[in-house]
Formats: sequence, structure tokens, C-alpha cells
Amino acid sequence: MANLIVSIRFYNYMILGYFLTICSIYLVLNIISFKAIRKYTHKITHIELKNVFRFSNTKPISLIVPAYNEGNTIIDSTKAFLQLEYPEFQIIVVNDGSKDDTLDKLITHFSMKKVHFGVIENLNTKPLRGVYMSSKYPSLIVLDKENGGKADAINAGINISKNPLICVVDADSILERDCLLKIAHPFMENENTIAVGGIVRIANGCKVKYGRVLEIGPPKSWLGKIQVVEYLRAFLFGRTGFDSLNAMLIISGAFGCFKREALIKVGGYKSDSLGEDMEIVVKMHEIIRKNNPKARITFVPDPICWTLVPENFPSLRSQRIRWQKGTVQSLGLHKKLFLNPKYGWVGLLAFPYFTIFEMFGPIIEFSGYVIVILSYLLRITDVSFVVVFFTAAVLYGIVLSILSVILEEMSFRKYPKGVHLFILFCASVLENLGYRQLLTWWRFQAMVEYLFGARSWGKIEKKGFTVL
Amino acid sequence: MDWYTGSNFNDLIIFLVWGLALLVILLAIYCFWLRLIYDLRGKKRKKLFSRWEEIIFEYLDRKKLPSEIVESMPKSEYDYFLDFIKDYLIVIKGEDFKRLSVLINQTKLFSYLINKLKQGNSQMRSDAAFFLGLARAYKAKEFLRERLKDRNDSVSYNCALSLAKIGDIDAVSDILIQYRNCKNYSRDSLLCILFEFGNSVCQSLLQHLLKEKEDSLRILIIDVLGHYRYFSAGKAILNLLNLSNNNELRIHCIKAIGRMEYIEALPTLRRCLDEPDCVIRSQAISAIGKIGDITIENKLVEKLGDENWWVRYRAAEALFSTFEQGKESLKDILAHSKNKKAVSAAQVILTEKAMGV
Repeated sequence: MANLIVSIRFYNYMILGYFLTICSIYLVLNIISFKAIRKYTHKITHIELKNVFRFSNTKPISLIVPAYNEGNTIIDSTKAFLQLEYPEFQIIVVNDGSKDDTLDKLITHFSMKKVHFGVIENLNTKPLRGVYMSSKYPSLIVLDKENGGKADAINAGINISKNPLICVVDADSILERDCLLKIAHPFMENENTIAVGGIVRIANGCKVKYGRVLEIGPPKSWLGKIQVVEYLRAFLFGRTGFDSLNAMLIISGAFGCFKREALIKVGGYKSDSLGEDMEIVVKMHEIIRKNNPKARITFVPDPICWTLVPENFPSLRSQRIRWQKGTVQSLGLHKKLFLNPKYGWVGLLAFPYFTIFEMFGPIIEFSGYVIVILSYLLRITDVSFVVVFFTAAVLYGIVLSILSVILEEMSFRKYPKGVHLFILFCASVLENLGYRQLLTWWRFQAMVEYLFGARSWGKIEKKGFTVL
Repeated sequence: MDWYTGSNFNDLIIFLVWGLALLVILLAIYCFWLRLIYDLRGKKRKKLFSRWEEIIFEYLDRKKLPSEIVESMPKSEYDYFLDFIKDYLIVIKGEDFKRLSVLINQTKLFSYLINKLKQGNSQMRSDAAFFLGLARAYKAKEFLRERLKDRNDSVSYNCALSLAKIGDIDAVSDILIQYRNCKNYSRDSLLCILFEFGNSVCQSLLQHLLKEKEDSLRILIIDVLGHYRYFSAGKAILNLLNLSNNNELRIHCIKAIGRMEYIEALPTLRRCLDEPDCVIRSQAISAIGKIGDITIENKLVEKLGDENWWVRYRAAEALFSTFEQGKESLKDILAHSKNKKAVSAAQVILTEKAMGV
């Protein structure tokens, strides 16, 4: 019994240390992000992007859109992709063996015809069933293949793309018209840039017409509203902060741009990956930065990709469980980066941060709740301490969420009405009262499932955009 | 040992909770205050812009003088006005542009911007350099040149870009030296600056090319000369192609020669078709296709079977675009050739051309 009490006390210290460390990291990231975003917003006001990209050094882009059962959104999003502003780009929609009418809709709507088309690269993928092109839309290619997962579909797209930059976009996403100009700019600014991530914002609640977001508003459900704040925090201060240290470990699968040669060099996406977006970035750090420490993987907070998020608990759970398993898988595959000074801040900060706080975080946090209850039952600590400590943790979470909303206010101010700001503020509070604890529980479940070998993608219910 | 259960620690945490609660309230107030400030600024901006919209069209219609617009304006509105006029200066061309630029170049705004360039913080210096370039403020070139060496990358870049917009060819040397010494902007950024000068920069760049020893700068210059199809540089570029051992440099030479359709380079380009470097082979084919060498049809057909995809693709493309019978040759290969690589290359080009890619 005495040993148990000593162990519990020791664990309590660990939890306290964990809490203080994560708070400090978030604080530092916040400070860095404020500075970086201010610098970026100033810079972008004086860049005439259309002028920059009018010369012969412009790098053409292949936009790869993996699509699986995206019949509800594929036409709207493809139309939006066709309207993007960029001097030279092609769109490769990869139908990954959809069981719905995704392919039929594409063929009918865009008058596509089956053509013979050879592959350029030989990344391993499931067999191709056909390539479709249209003389009405010469920049659009539809690739039909057997189902092999998102990573496999992207690899199939890479195999037929010719352009030096490859942009990967989710089929249920809408890109703002100038976003290719913005996401390609870091490749012009710094020749060592090998990958760029853009910001992903939530389209639920926004009004869409002709494949464009015309009216921005928060989602109807509180689950959606909370995710708006969560995304703001993840992108505006998480990604921006790590980017300032050249230590980005993830580029959102919904929208990212890569140098083609870098993707080929690392052998493309890992086909059976659960978190292909993280795995490819970690792999790039491991393989490319080993030979070229100057290689840069960066984040731009402005090129906006609007995406739909799940607004019901089963779909959200499924998504978050997959994300967690993807994180565990990616970190496990590239564990040699852990505390490896050869990889700079990635090895010394980002990788350990993700391992401790993202991968093991749910276990530590969940066990923390259990231990705190045990401590109370064994009279190691009193109830007032538990309540006060929990309140402090929740309040700190609220502070971080509000800081993200402030960062948004100081930079892009996408939500136009005062009432939107009030909603975001309420969501910042609500997020920390139940939602985060629920996520911790799901992520804990994901860890357990992963350890016992359950590694499927899960199902997410998808609705279309709100069309005006 | 169990200090964390002690009342002191509890007090500390309670103090922290109150502190955090207060911080939440303060941050919320700050957030709404920010929104209020931005909304008020937005309203002011909108009001000023709608007033200036009318004034600016009257001015362009020659119903107002520059001094009538700017001289009466309070200094606090200068930045709003610059923000307002920015899009007009970017979009409008010709005589109207000249009249608009007078609003900056021949009014108090000019000295305002020069002061910002000289004494402001990095953001102000960068802004000032940007607007002076946008308004083609020729009088500001000496100040901009001074600021080329600014420690802040953004200021230095905006000064170089503005000098390019102004067309100050004499500044090319300084810009190249600055790039060589500091590398404070990328290769592509420097290219954009050099392109911005227009084709009038080519003569000066050719002189630099003849003197330049550093390959990275040679490549940049060659890219600009190629972009503007500066035929007079053909000989110098061909010499570099023949004499250099740096394959990257040679690739850029081939691209430039192809763009300027420098026919004297054909013998060299033909030799390049059998080089071990696949990028050289593919670019040479592309250049030959652009120049239009009708003597190498068989060689191009042979290259359809090359081990590298890009060489095969460029060969098919050159066959299609250079020869009258090219399309038929590719169709023939598609129908009868047993070489899978050649068939695939022919297939891609025929499909792309049929679809208008």
C-alpha cells in the first residue's frame, strides 16, 4: 500500500510536470506565431502575386485530387479548381474505386472521354482502369483506378503528372482563387523549399456558389463551431510556430504543395498509411534534410482551403481515431528522428513534442484523470485540489483558444460579423468543457486499438456544401 | 515531500486560477476591442475611399490639380490614400497612369515616402520602397540604391524591385553585387527583379555575362536573356555551352538558345542528343524542336526509345510540332512499333494534342 501511494505521488508530479511543460511550449509557440503572422500579413500586402508569376521561371502545378465516394461535392469542387488563378496548372482527379457515382458525374458533367495515356513515374499503385480527358477542359484529367486508399490515389496522380510542383487537395474542399499563387510563392522565395502547407478552414456554415465561398459564417452546430476554434488554434499558432523553427511535422492532407522531385525522391506516399499527410512530411525530413539541412518545409497562413468537417459524433470520432493512429504510425516509422540533433529543431523539439504530447498525450492525460481520482480515494490529495487543478487546466485551454481567435482578428478577420466573434468566443470556452476531454478519450481508444492491430480508416459521413 | 497537497500549493493554484480567469476576461475584452477598432478603421477607410473615388476620376478627367488633392489632405490620411491609390497604380496603364503617379511624385507624398525610407522602421522602409516603385518615382532612385544594402531582406528586395520598375539600368550591377554578397533573396526573386526591368536590361546583362565568373549568376543572366529572346547574346551563350563543364549551366544555355531560336547552335545541340545527362538530352531535343531542324527526324524517332521518359516525351513533341508528317509518324509508331516506350510517348503526345493540352 505504501508503495502504491509513493507511486501515485510520483505520477502526480509527472502529470504536473507534463502540464507545465505543455503550457510553456504553447506559450512560446503563441509568441512566435504572433510575430510570424504579423510579418507575413505585412509582406503579403506588397507582393503583386500576379506579376511575380508572369515570367518564364513560374513553376507549373499539378493539382491532384484523390476522390473516394465524393459524388456529393465533386462537381462543385472541380469547378472551383478549374477557376483557380495560376499561369499554368493541370487538375488530376483520381477516382479511387468509388462505389458511388463520382466517376459518372465527372464524365457526364465535364464531357470526358477515355484516352490512352502513359505514366511517367513508376510509384507502385493499384491498377489503373482508365484515363479520361476532355477537349472542353484541357487542363482536367480524370484517373480511374481500383481502390487503394488516399495515399495510393495520390501516387497514381503523381505517376502521370508532369509539372515540377504537386499540390494535393481533398475532393471535398474548395480552394480560394488565388491560393495557388500564394502556396507556390515560397518555392520562388526560397529555392530550398520542398513542401508548403496552407491553412484549412471550415466550410460548414459558409454559402457556396459556382464553386466559390461567397458568404462566410460559422457552422450551425456547436460541434462544428468548436472545430472552427480548434482549427484556428492548430493552424494559426501550432503550424505557424513550428514553421518559424523549420520544424513542421505535418502538412494537412486537405491542402499541401510539394516539389515533385522531393516526392519522387522519398518514394511517394506510403500506400497503407493511416496518416499519409504526416508520414510524407516526416519522411521528407528524414530523407531529404539528411543530405540537405537547408531543405525547408513551410506553412503559409493565407492560402485558404475550405473543407467540410464532421458535425456528428460518430463521424468525428472516426476521423480523430484515424488521425491518432496516423500520428502513432508516422512517428513509429521514423523514430530515428527522436532527439536527433542532425535534424535540427525537428529532431530536438517537434518530434519529441509530437511523441510525448500528441502520441502519448492521451495516455498520460487519461491516466492522469484516473490517478487523480485514485489520489482522492486514497486521501493522498483532497477534492478541492482536484477541482482547482482541473479549473486551472481548463482556463489555460480557454486562454489558448481565445489567443487563436485574437490572432485571427489581428490578421485575416474572415468572420465578418460581431456575432461571429461572440460565437467563436463561446466556442473557445465550450471547447474546453467536455470536447477536449472527449477527444482525449477517443485518442486513448485509438492508441489501444492501434496496439491491438485495428488499423482501418473508418467511415465518415459526408454532406455537400451549402449552395446558394 | 507532499508539498503539492499542502495549503501553500493549493493557494498558489487558486491564485493561478484567479489569474487565468482574469486573463480570460481581459483577452475577451481585448478581442472585442480589436474588432471595434478594426470596424471603425474600416468605416473610416470606406468613407475616405468613396470620397477619393469621385475625386480621382475628376482628376483623371483633368478637372483637378494634384496639389488640390494631396496638399489639403491631413498627414494622418496619407497611408489611407496610398492604400487607396495602390490598386489604381497596379491596374491603370498609359497616360492615366502617368497622371496618377504625379500624385505621388510631385506632391508632399514624395517627401513623406522618402522620409519613411530613410528613417522609418523596417516595415515603413519596405512600404516606402514599394510605393516609390509603384509610382515609378525616378527621382527616388538614389535613395532606393542606398537602401539596397538594407539589413532587412524585405526592404532590400522592395528597393531592388522598385529600381527595376523605374527602369534604372545603372542599378543592375549593384543589385547583382548585393545578391552575390548577401544572398538575401532567392534566385527566383532576383529573376523576377531582372525580368521587371523589361528587355532593356539585356544589353547590360550581356556585358555582365561576359565578365561574370560565378556560374549561379551566369545562369540567372542567361535565363533573362533567354526569356527576352535576346538574339545578340546567342554567341556568348553558345560559347558557354561549348566550354563549360557545369551541366546545370549548360542546361540553362540550351533552354535560352531554344527560346531565342539561335540557329547557329544546331550542330552543338545535335551533339547534345547523345550526352549521358538525360536533362541535357531532353532540353536539346526541345530546343531543336523550337528552332526546327528538319534533318534529324530519324534521330528523334530513335530518341522515342530513350531510357528517360522526358527525352521520349520531348522527342515525340518535337516530331509532332516540327515535321509536317510528324503526326502521321507518331500514329504509325503507335500502330506498328514494338517498342513499348516509343508507343507510350507517341500515345501521350497524340492524346494531349487531340485534347488541346
